[in-house]
Amino acid sequence: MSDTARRDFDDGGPYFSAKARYPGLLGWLSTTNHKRIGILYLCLIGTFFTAAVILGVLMRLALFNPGSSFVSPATYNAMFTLHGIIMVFLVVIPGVPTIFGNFCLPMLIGANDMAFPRLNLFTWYLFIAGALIAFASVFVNGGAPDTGWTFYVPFSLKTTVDVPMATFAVFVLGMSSILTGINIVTTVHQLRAPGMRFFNMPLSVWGLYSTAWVQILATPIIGITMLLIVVERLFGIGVFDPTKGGDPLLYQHLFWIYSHPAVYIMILPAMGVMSDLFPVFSHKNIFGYKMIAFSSLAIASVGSLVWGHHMYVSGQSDTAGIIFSLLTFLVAVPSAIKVFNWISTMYKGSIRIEPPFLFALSFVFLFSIGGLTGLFIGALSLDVQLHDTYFIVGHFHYVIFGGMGYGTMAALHYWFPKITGRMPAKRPAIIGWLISFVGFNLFYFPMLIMGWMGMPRRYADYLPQFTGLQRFSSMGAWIMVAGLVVIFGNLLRSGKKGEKAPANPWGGATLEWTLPSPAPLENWEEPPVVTRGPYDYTGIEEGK
Amino acid sequence: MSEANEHAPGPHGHPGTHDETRGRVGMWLFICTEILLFGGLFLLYSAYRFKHPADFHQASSDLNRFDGTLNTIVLTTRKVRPKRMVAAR
Repeated sequence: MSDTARRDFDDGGPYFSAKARYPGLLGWLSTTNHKRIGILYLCLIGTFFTAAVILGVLMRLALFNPGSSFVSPATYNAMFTLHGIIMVFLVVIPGVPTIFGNFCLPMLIGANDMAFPRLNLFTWYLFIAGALIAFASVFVNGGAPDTGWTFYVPFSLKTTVDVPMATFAVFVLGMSSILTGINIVTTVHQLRAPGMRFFNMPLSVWGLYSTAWVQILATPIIGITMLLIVVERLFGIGVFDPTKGGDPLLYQHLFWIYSHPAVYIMILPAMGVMSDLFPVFSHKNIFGYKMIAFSSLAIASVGSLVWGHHMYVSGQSDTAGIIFSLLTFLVAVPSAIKVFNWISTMYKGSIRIEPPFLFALSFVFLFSIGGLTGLFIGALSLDVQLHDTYFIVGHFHYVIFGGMGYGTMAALHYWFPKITGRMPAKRPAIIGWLISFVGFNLFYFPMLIMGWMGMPRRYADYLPQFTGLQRFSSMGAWIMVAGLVVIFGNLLRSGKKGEKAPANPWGGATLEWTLPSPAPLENWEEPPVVTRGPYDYTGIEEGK
Repeated sequence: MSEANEHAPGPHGHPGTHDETRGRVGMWLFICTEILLFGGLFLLYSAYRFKHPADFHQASSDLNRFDGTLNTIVLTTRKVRPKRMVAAR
């Protein structure tokens, strides 16, 4: 039975041109190869990201002038809900684990595939099914969901639009996420190459591994919560409906028990990638390997106990608020450990500024702003002022877009030679990075200021005194998107016409760089024996 | 798996890692997620039962004994299936 997967392909050649059992597209859709599944995910997630960015740009256009605009308030509600659902559930939660977890993880630990290749393909089909249900919910039964991505009761029980379908989509996407998590944990435990101990693994594997545990332990909670919304809407059971004796606060607890850890599902794997990039581009061993590895686990575990900081003003008890606030401040410690260790890695290193490293550096800058503003709203008293304002929107986008988004772009540029066999063109990548980085800050920093001044989030209109800052923010958004167009346009172009990449263009010491670029279909004939650390650069030269 | 095959690298794994162990790890993790999924439901149930003990007591007397027994048998014997799935080679 173990040979069936191998027979799907003729051996030899890059993974994307190897002959499959079925020709063309069908060969891709029936593949169990981890690299091909990673690419399948990349295509889907790229499409969803583009759709959600377009929604975001339209919202910023609608907010350019105070007063009525080309979208009605109801449409605006649907737009921010869709932007949130697509970005959160279809882009940033699955993003790094499914694209780079699939494409890179087996190569990073010296395995030939994931532990469960067929299950892996199944998660992709579940993901498509979830996405299709989510998109269907926009067009059937009374219009697009307008609840925001959080589906708070009692509004989500009362609104006339199709909430059950959207929540069911989240349930299906959650199943896909759980199975990916199981696959990653099993792979890391069972398929490491001979000689690779846990503390010999690249730190990106530690990031993926911690994330996978959060996926396994937290996602089931949102699964049942979303199903309860469906049941409540369809049969009127009254679990959360206060008029029937239900408790809406329980919904918020269940929702955030998942959705706060979900923020760590978004950011942890990107942090792992950062820990791989800093040593490579500083040509120096990582500073504090074990501390970074343990801080990933610490973020995953303590981060699971801080959900109540979303609910300071919901009416939960003061004692609970104080405990959640304390735990929230504690999570900042492992995050800070990572940031300090990355900076210390650069100290006295031989630093090369290449596109992936520029994205990595901006990750640290933007994530630090996002993390520090998180401490503002983690404080009980300040949160009363800042709750549900643009400050939250600004903070969240600094962490998730500045962190996970720039981290993903760093990873895309870094592993681009392994994915396509070609180098990303340097000049346009740097120009695109610069434009997007400037635009990003012009876009989100005014949001922090507006939130401080009291501008509430999710409003289709605003008072005249916010006009200047709102316009500033809108123009920043367009500059940022222009930068993104340059970045992704350059990647697409480089994939076709770029310079041919050597096996190890950046001078990395992890196992994937011992393979040719692009990666072959079967990683290793014989399992590699690991005799050196992942950040030991003695004798490694870039561009070989 | 034959003796000669044991030390040859499989397409996905390496010497010493058998599909069987992998399957067992995966199944246990999956069962773990199922417990958590229904754990959410039990959490709600216990919260409401604690809040409204009299109503729950009254409602339980309305249950159909036959259906309830059947349901319990189905639910408790269901765990045989993942067990057999792991045992199947």
